[in-house]
Amino acid sequence: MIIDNELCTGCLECLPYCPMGAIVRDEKTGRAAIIEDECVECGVCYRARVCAPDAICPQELQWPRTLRMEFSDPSAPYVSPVFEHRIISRLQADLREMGRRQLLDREGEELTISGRGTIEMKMNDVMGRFKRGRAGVAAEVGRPGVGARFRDVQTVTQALASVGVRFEPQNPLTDLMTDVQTGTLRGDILDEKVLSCIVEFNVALEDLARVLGKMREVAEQIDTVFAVDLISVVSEDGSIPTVPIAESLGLEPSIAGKTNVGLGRPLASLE
Amino acid sequence: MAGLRWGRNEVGQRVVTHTNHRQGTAENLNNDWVMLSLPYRGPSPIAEKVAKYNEICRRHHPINADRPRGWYIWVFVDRANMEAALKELAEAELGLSVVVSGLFDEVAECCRKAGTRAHTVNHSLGFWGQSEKLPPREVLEITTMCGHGLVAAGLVWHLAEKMRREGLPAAAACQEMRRMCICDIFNHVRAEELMGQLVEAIEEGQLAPRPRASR
Repeated sequence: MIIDNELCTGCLECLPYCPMGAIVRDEKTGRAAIIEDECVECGVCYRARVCAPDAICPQELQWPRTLRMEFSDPSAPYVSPVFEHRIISRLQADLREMGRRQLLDREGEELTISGRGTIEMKMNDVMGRFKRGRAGVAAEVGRPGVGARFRDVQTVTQALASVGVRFEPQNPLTDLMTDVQTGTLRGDILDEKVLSCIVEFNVALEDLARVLGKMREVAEQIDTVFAVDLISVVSEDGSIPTVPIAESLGLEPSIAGKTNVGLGRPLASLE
Repeated sequence: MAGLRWGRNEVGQRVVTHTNHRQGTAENLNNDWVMLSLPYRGPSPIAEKVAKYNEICRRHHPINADRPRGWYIWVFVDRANMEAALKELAEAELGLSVVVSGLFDEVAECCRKAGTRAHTVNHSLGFWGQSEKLPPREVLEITTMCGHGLVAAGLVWHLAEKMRREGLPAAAACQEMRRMCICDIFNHVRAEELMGQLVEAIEEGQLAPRPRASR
């Protein structure tokens, strides 16, 4: 995003809208300016329509800056050539495997990947992505509202890979890895900053404590934050197998979160 | 709704919600329920089911029904309304997958009353790392209602100051924040209460707004 200096009147109304605090007052001109390296191209300032003379304009983005928008603007599709085709075809192949069912939008258009990660547990009753005996885990790097460089994201992925984590293949981040075994990302993207980037994977329950322990360790090594998600199928007796494991580590699972209420049909196998 | 596309907001942007890290206490989360379904085609056409899903949810007074939409995410502030919608959805046997975000124990109880049960849950384990970079809890309780982080902490401070100094009504402040959340899952009703508390905390000197940046 850029601010047209000629048009900006210096009212500074746009400053508070930037989630990254990347819009500042230029002391020389008294007008608003965007710190380009801090801007994550989320589009909030542009969509806010608070600039009377329309001085805030999207700019044409070149790789790898395109990633900023793709990971920061929830309305932006993933279009980067490095992963577009691979990820969509992989999703469709998975759906075919599950009985030729397709995710469709209302007009019959096939849904592709959208959002910063996958649909995680949202349709687990009908898709069975998370099975009994497994835990889904995500590190939402940069959330809430801090932002992250891919360099920090790589610190997290490499730490997780070192304890045997296999990353979610449908997540765009996985396609940005040059080596999924080590969690190494492309070198040309490491300085790019995004609003958030989700590291997704699932592990056997017996490995969960070790993996969460590693996540706690790596959290101290990065210059940002990550929000941690913990997904579990609810047992027949209503208990949640991941909760005692988290609690044994001194963690406190939230009192609120998402519940898939089991209304989807036909139910997918969880075994 | 004519002119709108499934899974897109009123300006045609594709949207996926994010509701897992809404911060708060058991008390102030008791007016925050988000119901979501995703389109899924099994053996029969989905359009009628989706229309029925939306019709049922709309009937139970979601707070975000005032904007044109053709999609599937509804925010309730009253647990009884969410519970009634869930019960009716279960009775309708639409077969659509539904996720409810909110207090786990309460949602489990609503499921029981609706004749269903929690299938899969997603807990937040909090925010790890350089937590000093986060705004105070009072601000996070507001900003995390847009899980994508599009409601800036700076905007919360700015609007709180406008409430204090210029008499901006809390409702107007919260509608302004709501505009930033393109999934329209920002609970502006809950935010009004939280903004009132934030302003009070600033007035009492317990919290100080962040100064504006310059270079």
